[in-house]
Amino acid sequence: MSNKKTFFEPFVHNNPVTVQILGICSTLAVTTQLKPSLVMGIAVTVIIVFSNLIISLIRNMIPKKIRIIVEMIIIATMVILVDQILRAYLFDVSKQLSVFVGLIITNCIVLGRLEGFALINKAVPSILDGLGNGIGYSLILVAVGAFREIFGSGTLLGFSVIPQSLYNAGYENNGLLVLAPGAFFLLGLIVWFQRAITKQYEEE
Amino acid sequence: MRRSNLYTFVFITIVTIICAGLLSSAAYYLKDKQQTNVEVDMKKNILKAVKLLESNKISQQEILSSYNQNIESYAVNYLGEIIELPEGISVEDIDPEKEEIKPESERMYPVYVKKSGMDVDAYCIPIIGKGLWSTMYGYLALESDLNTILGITFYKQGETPGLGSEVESKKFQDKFIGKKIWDENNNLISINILKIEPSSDSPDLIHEVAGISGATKTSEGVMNLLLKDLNKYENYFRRLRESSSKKEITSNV
Repeated sequence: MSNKKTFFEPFVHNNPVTVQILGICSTLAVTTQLKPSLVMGIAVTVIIVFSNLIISLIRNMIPKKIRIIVEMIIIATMVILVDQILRAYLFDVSKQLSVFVGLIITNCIVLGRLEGFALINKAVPSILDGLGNGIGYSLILVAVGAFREIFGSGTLLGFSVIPQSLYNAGYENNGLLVLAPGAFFLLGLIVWFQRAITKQYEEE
Repeated sequence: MRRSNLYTFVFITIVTIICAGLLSSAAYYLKDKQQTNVEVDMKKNILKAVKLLESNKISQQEILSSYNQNIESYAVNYLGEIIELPEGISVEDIDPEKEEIKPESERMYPVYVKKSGMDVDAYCIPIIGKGLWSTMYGYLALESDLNTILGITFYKQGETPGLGSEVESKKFQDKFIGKKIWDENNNLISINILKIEPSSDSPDLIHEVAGISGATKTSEGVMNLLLKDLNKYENYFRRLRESSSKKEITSNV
């Protein structure tokens, strides 16, 4: 597979969220607003890239029997490191993400990329794969986050975007979108929409 | 390729040591910076509660100097007496959460006062308690009458983003300003948080605040922690209120 394909495929055709249906938990949990979605996307991207790189570099040394343990150690180390750095240099952001940074450890996308790609590929393609998947994940997060914030709370990045006149005319924020089920419906719609366009179905 | 068991052991030991070394050195080198952040954040939130901080965009130095100029701190015990702290500990070091585990007679309750000249403008106390998912941390500031709420802040919580996490929003916190915590008969009743907007003809309007919609448990948590923490200071506040009302009587005479 060419490097270009490795990088771009996870954007749409092999998107980790909408096609592989991984990382759903965080896609539902952090996307009530755009800002945590953005920061989460960046944090996950950084972690996938670095864990992919490290695992790829030591891929020929890892004993098969304990490879999952080794992968988890690397992921956990990366996540704690990112958390520590955020706490020292971006204190406000780290406060906002609170527990979600730690929960990146359990994000299946990270482990999935290590198992599915970094273990059998060289360093450069692994970095590209990590970047591509991180961006693919972030795209969905940002789309869901922006939609939920605009129609659920009437704001975007904390600023009001729905004019007061609309509220006076009887418009109301959609409370469902603030809750996790709202995100689930939204995600389902995105998956449907994407497959309708790409004509890529799992059934024959 | 099959590897020997020894190789597996050696490999995992090396990986673990490298990762552990990396993490402990990161924790070690970043510790000072993280602690400064926590300290500045705490002082910033006290300043915010007593309304000395309007914008969020001020430097760490400015926060620390404003704190040193305007805020005095001391600790009281459960009887409401001002106590001396053990050597080497400052009021800012008291962790109210850890104090709750101690027997009541040994607990130290920090009080932060905002002074202008000799007069106390505001009293500020830490408030801590459980919401739906997490422990919420904040400060409550009272005006010099020890009755009217001057400000409330929450600076650390892990409630549902977009719902319970609204306790950190200015919109929610502003609802508390001007509310009273004592009734006419001098009973401490704290603040009631309702599920609905309190009706304007409610007799208890001065004690009532609307909760956050979609976050009933978080709102209940805020209500409970306010009552719990105000109760800790009840004896101290009573003393202050009694002495100040006596002063008023004598000055009227």
